[in-house]
Amino acid sequence: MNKKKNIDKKAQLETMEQIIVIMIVIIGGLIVFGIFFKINAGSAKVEKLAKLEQSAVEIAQLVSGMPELACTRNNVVTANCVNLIKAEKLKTSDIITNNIQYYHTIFGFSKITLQQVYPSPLPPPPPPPELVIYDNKPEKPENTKFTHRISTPILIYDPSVATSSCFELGKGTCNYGYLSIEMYT
Amino acid sequence: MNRTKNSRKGMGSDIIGIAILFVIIILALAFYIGIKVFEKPSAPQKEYISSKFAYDVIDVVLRTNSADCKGLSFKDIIQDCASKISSGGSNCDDGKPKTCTYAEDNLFNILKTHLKEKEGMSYYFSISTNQDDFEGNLLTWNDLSGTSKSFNFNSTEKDIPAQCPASKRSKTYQIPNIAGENIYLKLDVCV
Repeated sequence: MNKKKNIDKKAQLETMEQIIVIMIVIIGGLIVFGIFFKINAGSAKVEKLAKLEQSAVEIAQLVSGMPELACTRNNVVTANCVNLIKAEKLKTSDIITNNIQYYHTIFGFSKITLQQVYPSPLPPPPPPPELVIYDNKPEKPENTKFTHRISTPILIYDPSVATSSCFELGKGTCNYGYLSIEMYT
Repeated sequence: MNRTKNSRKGMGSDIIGIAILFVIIILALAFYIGIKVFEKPSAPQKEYISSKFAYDVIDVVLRTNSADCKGLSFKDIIQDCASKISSGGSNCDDGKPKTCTYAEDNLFNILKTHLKEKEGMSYYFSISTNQDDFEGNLLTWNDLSGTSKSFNFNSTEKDIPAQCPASKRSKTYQIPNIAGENIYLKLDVCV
């Protein structure tokens, strides 16, 4: 009787021991799986951000070369330059709205803003004048946020000011500004 | 007695097994985390800064027309200043400083507004007629006497150190002087 009790007790102990080992292995496995999952999720996020940054850089380089905005003389495009009159026309007309599919393939979900730095208008005004050229948000605006922004310096050519000359572009004035590219996600 | 001993022995080997398993898992995990941590993600913005941004800033600044210095571009203004540095350059519009001071004030404001205020970047901008010597007085023209003809702009009044504290992306731009010498413009963007 006593022997049977002892055997039962031992069997109980062994079962308990096995359960504890299994539990420890499961908990360890879960911790390891959690850490791996977190690291992978983090690196996926980093990759996504890197892709967004890459797109923003590409867009910045594309904008000043677009015929809708580029500074040209005798059909030669001037690098890093935006024609202010063309930019204002692009903003006020429905060109982008009517051809949103086309522009979406180039700019995606982003906001492109032209901002003048010098000369700043008088009286000193913060904020300086800005011109939103393109703003295409994803369908669910409540979940939308900017994840990345880059800026690139740009010459803002204003042909309406005939008192000075702007390099190879001829009459007009060249102001210092920048293009801001913000990517939505 | 013997059985209990055996059972204890069995438990001991189980614990050693678990310990070995954990050591292996921890080592594997450490190896994996090590790889992930030291793996450098591609950073296009940094590449863009290094390859093009600094160059574009100088390029655009030089082609910008001044608001009140006879409509001259900053390239013309810097060239004028460098060739007449002993007198502080030619006169600008009435009531405005001469070209050297005009360039200093306005370039300082343009770069401060764009790089520091809008982008939060620290930078160091300098102009010299000697490619190997961009050092000098950090807040104003380095030498107005005309002996070395080097002059310097500084991005800072107090808050930014004169040189980038860590790494920087540097671009040097070269324009010809009226006298035939070269003028070197250097922009360091701190990263």
